[in-house]
Amino acid sequence: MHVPDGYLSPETCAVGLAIAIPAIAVASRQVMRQVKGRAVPKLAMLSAFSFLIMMFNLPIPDGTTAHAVGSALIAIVMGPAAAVIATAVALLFQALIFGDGGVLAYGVNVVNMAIIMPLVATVVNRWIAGRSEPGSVRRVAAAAVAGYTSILAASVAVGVELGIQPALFHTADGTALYNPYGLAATLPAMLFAHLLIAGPAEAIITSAGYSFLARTGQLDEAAPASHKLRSNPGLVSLGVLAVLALLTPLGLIAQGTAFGEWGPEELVDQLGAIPAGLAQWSSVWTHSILPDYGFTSGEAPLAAYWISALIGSLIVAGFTYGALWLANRRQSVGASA
Amino acid sequence: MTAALPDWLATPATPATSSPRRPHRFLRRTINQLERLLATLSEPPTRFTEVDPRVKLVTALAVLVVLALMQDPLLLTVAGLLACTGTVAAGAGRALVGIAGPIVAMTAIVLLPATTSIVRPGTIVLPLGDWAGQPVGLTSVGITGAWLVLTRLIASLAVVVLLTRTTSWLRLTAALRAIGAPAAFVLIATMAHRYLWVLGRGVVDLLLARRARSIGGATGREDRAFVGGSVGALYVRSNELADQVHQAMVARGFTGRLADPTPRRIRWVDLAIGGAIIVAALGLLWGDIGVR
Repeated sequence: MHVPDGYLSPETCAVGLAIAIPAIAVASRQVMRQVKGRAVPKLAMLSAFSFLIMMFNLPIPDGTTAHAVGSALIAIVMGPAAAVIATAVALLFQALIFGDGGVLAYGVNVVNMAIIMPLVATVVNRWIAGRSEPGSVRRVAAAAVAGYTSILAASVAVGVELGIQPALFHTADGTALYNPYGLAATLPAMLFAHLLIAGPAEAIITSAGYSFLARTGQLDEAAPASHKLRSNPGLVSLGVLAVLALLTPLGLIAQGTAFGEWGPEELVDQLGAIPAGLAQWSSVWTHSILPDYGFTSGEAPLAAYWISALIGSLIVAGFTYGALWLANRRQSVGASA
Repeated sequence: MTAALPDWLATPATPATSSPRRPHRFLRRTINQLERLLATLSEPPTRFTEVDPRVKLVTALAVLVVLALMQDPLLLTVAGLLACTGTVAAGAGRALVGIAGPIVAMTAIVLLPATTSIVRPGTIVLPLGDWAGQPVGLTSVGITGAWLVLTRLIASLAVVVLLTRTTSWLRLTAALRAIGAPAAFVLIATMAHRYLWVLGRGVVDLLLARRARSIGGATGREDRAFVGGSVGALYVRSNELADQVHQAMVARGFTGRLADPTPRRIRWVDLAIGGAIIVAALGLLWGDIGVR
């Protein structure tokens, strides 16, 4: 799961950092508000806890051992924002002290294990647990499924990040500059390992850890995870942005034009003529900053595509954030009235 | 008087049956890993500690970016050799072997199929036989691609080991703060590193106690329940420790405001060392671009 340096291009690493840094900043602010003065020691301990969870070798049913990430358990018990910080700090230790995961690839590893995992775990846990009693069988099962699905989601993200490398970064003679395996190899490989080994390990750690905390009365039910997620639109928007940004390079691999998005030239090729209405309206605005997701000069198509994707994603995320902020504000005004 | 064993002792009356209980292999493995972790955390920095950590951090990041941008296998090999030589000269050769050894071995195994014509079709330089009527062998593009990943990985690990084994964590996090990392994140990372040892020691004690209490082994189900309980207990312990640390911080006057330590002035000699390394790395990159 930890991607080392050398497997990913600097461009991919830059995109990872561009997502990870604001996510960590938003999560820090959110947690500081949640736990107030206790935030610093609390998060420091959670980070150490997250790191140590990854050291636990767990015996799994096939006779071998595996280790879990622990991000899902922290997200369920403490909320996704705390899980983002704790896992990000644990990943920093691993990259710098133990060489487990790259330094340049730190942003990508944070996206996979510290952003995607807690968000998926929180959503799945909330969906399955519903309004059931804390510590009930349904809650424990929800924790297990959340742990399992969250690590699967992270493994798919890793598979995509690694799998797009040979298609995007290669020399003229076809030599892969970074990871040499395409999506057809990386996705099944990651899914196979995580469906059968790492997934069960994460499910066991998450459900058994949650069950223990519920049994011993250690759960902080005053601030349920569902409330934490709803009150943090910034983090949700960043999660959506992370997934969008990670998947955008797939568009470079696709051939041809999407159905119904043909330009006048393509319509001439297909129909032999341009419909009169289309001819009139298609020339109204021709001053796009990034026409066809590229620079007007046509240079650096890859960089232009990524910049277009990032700008588009940021605009969408901005609107999402604004809409959720407005909705929360109205709710709080209504409640106080 | 004879020394032969009596029949009832030499031959068991009932054959031994295999038990579903198995020894705690995972306990031994986890304890070993944690002991190694605690030993690593306690290691003092080796040489070159007097060089400013900010210069070291910026230089390391610049070199890592250059390594990621390089595409020529020969020049990348030269860069890797230089990085490894620097690490050995800094007295961190053993640490490099310990950290990079398993990662490089695993990477080599993973990359092996990518050197063949099945994964990376191209000119076959070493035929291995036929498969489904097609010649199969190692291709030049496959070997070059795998070599690029492997050398870049070794060089990057050497740079990271060189940085972290010559700089204490406290100075490294201060350098992170100096280059713009958020204050809260850096403070959390600093404190987490300090208390990692305390929590890690507690976990080792927990596991050793379990191992001492269960000589006969346990079933897989019991083992999994124990690991889940240990994780929960660890969470409770970290919460309690966090409360104690917070009370101690408040008692010492902590108001929630984070203050940066006054940075030390960077010496000219440190800047010269960092500059020379960056210029050398850029020279390699320039040569790399030239041969493309």
